[in-house]
Amino acid sequence: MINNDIHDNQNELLELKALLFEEEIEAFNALEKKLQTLQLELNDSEQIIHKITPLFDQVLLKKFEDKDERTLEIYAKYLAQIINKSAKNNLPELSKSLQSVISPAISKEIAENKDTMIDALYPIMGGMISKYVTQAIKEMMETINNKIEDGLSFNKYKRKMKSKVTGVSETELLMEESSDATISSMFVIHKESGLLIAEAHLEDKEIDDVHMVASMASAIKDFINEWIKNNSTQSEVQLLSYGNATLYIESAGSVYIIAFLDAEPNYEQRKEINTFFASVIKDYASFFQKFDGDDSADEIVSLSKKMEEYLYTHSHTKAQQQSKIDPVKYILYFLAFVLIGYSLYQFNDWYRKSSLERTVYQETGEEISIGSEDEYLVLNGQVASTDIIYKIESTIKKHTKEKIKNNLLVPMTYLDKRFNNESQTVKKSLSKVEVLEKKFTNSLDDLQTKVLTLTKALAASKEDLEQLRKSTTDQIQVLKEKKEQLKKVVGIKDTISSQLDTIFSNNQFYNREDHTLDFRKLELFRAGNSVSELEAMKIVTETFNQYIKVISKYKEYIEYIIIEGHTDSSGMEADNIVLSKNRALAIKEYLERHSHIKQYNMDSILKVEAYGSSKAIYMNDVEDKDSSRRIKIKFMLKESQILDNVRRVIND
Amino acid sequence: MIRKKILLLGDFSVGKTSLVRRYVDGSFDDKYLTTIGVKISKKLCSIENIECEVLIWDIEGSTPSKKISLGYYKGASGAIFVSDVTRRETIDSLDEHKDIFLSENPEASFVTAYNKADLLTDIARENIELDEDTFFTSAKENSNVEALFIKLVEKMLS
Repeated sequence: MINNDIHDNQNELLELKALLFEEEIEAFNALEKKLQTLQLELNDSEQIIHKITPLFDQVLLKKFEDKDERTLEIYAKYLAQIINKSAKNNLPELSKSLQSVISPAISKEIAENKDTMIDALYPIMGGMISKYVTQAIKEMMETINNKIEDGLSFNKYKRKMKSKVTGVSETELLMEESSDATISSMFVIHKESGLLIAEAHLEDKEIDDVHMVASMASAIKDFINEWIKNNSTQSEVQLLSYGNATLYIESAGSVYIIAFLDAEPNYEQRKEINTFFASVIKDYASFFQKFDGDDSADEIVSLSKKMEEYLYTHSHTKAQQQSKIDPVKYILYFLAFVLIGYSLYQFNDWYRKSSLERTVYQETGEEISIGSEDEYLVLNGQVASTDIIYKIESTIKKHTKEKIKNNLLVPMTYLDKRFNNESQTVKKSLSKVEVLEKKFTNSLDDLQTKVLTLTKALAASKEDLEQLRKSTTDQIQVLKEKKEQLKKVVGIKDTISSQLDTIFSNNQFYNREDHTLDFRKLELFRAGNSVSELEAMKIVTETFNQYIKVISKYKEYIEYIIIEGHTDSSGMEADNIVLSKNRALAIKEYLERHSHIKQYNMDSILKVEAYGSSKAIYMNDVEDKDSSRRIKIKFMLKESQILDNVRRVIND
Repeated sequence: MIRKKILLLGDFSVGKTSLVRRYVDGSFDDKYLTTIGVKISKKLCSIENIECEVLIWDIEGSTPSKKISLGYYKGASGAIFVSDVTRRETIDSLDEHKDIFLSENPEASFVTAYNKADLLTDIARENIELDEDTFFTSAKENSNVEALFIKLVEKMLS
């Protein structure tokens, strides 16, 4: 009963619940269903991720937008780990993925914010560039070092020694050797302010705006030193180069010195500049410390002078060094030249002898060796026979003009054989010689007999010959005399003419051309008359006497003395001929009576010839009538007499 | 003759280079300013018959990523601190520039330029207080530029 009651109560309670909590029960049921759904979803991870991810995204985005430091820190840590892991697992893939995203982003950033990007990258890039430049210089120095090792020059050892002594690497020394710098200007600059304290320049090397240049150089030096300091290097900048200009900077105390050069200074030059700078510091240290920009101090004047003197001394020394000749270098060159020359000579000598040896072998089949001794070619070796020795000698003489010393040998067996042969030959020759000797003796006797006979004949002939010579000499003398006579006879006319020319050398009536007396200039006759003038006739007579005196010496050869009569062309020629004849006869008669012709017995050969006007005298086509009326006297030789005399001389 | 090194200091774009360009006799190319952060110019001044050549170091304005080399500050006898009067922050940063400068050169002289004053209205100008070492300057209108430099030289030589 009780159980039934309890059961009924429970039902009622349920009904009551249903009535009172109807909405809650529905909600509970709905919740129960949702719970079941959630239980199912919890077991399905994909469902969970699908639901939760958008929430996470939103939360993360919010945190990134707010730049939540904790979030960024976590992400940076894991991102680095993720990238590292990816890089280890598959680096190419990671690079490819990052490249596609990062490259465009960087390009865009560079294009839009160039300066910012440069600022950001400079510390990294500067370091990288410095690293690569340092590496490049290191490699270059190694290359130079290798070249030094490979070098064979004397300078290599000189450089090595210098490197050991000075402690400077060979590479630096090599680089220094290639430079040859001139210091054109020098500044001493106040280190802190960059103000120029003193300056000096070579002539024509002055710099404009020196104070600005000094300040700018100072600024550049500070800029570079600052950069070096940032790169944890203890040193300071010492060389600044641009094109052909180089600034060598040396710093000390409160100042630094700048030397302006046309090339990088070598080790020696740097040492020299530093020494000079040290002396400047020593002398002017207190002045430098007090320097306040006032350039009127005496110290500046003296310092500038000192620097100028240094520049000119240095410039002069450099010129002297350039003009110096390194004697060691030239001696080495000379020795090398001599060595090469000697080697060439030796080679040429060897080649020539070898060629001769080959030629001898080709032509004689004998192998010999050829050497030298003084000016001789020495032939050594053994050959088959003595004949070949001569053949070898002649072969060599065909190819060279050098003297030959023949040391060639032949085998003893050959010599024995040769000696026997020669002995046989000599014996045969001797018997032939004996026969010949006998024949010769006989011939000699005959010859002596003949010589005797000939001697006798010769003696006889000699006497005959002497007589003949004597006779010939006499004949020659006779011939000479006849020749003189002949000459005299043949030249009779010339002899007479010559004597006449001498006697009448200044006589106006003597014609030298035909050796006649021509009285045209003596007006012997008036026109048409044959009566001569008395005074004129006296002159004719005197002249004729001189003429005949000469001719008379050769009287035997004279056939006639002819008096020629001439008239002018006036009148009839028949009359003129008569007139000329009369004139000649008138002269003849006068001379027969008054001249010496009879004394010489020559009056019989005096005759006249009349020419009328046929030989009248014309001057410029006009007749000189006074001259035409004239008398000429001439002689005529006996040609037959002369010929007879010649014939007689010849016949005699 | 006396020579002095002076600096022009101030933020970016306050007109330092324009002031120098207005004043100097000769200078290097502006490209050096962007290359090494300084440009040198010179000016010959004559104060009461004393000739003084000033070498003006126009120093590039600093940025967080690019600090100015302190080497440039050394040995300066004077400085001109320049601000852009239209940009408050450039006036505010003058003290920082002065502190750095005086830490290197405690005995040096200085003057201050409120540059680009041509852009100020009269009212605004009246509201800014100036002491005897501070000038309104305008490189554009060549206003007070010479007076600024002369004042500094006078102070240096006194």
